[in-house]
Amino acid sequence: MSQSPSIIIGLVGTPGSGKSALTEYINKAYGGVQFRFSDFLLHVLKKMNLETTRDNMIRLSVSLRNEFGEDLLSHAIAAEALQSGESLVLVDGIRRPGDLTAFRPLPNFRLIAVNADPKLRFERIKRRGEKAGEMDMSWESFLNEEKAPTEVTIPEAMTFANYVVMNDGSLEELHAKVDEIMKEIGIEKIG
Amino acid sequence: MSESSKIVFGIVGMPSSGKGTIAAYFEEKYHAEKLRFSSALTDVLNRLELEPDRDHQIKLSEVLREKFGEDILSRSIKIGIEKSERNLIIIDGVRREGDIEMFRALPNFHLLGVRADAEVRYKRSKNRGEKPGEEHMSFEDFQKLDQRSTEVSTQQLLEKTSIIFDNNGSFEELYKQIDDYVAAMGLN
Repeated sequence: MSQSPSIIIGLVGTPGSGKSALTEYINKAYGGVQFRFSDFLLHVLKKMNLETTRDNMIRLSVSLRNEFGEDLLSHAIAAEALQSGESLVLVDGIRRPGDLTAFRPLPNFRLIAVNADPKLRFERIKRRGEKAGEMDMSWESFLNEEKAPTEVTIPEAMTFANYVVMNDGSLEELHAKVDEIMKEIGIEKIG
Repeated sequence: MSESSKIVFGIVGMPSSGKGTIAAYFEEKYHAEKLRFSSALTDVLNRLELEPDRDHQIKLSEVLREKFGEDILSRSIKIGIEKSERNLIIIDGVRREGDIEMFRALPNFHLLGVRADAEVRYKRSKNRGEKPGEEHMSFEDFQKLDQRSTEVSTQQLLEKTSIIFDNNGSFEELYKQIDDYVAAMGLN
């Protein structure tokens, strides 16, 4: 019988807010194992020998939730997190209140929201040019993206956060804010 | 292994008619590889922490077909056939015309059917407890399952089989029919 994790940290954030940087820092400085909502969708697509495109992931996510309920993935990921036997678990990719259903009742769950000024987020997305077309994105396209079905629910999910990190400064400032939060939660650095 | 030397049998039959029994017999006696439509579905349901019962399997299968095309499950099986290292492959649980369109293109594909009376099938389903909920089902509910979309097309497919095994009797009686068929096909 594996032990329940001491702490489960959920992460939710707007595009370009620096959620990845925050997650990476937590992993490096505090350890922990990561579970992503997208992992479940990828598993299903791979099992059915379907292409693991973003489009397929969205279609799958929408149809699964329509058929089996908004909180389907929440329960699946919570079950895996609780059985993991790790002391710190990070749950990444929370986008809607339904994703939180299985986690909110847990006394050892904390939700961290990451956000930043929209103009700053826009600049960051253009600078990193992660996905095709991002480098030339216009302000209007950026605003439209925020309204996409997968993104528009993020602000509401963020209202459930225990901690909100406004990531408008430097990387060092981000790390300092994370350290403060982890200290409050009671998690020590590793190594 | 060349694709043309592989023999593929698709097994069609109503719930609890004996498809699994036939597939297992082919596996054991004729070294066949068994592929099931429901394996991928069961795996996905388990990962999603959903009970892999028949109801969920049907729902998941409908969701996937709707979003990704009617032939999604058969595409998955086709890849299983291509990857297989055996030269006899059994597909357990073919239900729709669409499922076999893809396999008909294979040079050595045959559709085999199996039949048993409803009461016989009902009794057997209660005893085997294969899928969650089977042991407690009433005969009425069992008959309702026969009406579901997946099983109505099973009836239609049964009319297109090369042979229909009668499985109202014993294991031995079923196995003899299979052996006779294999011998008649010149496969042994």
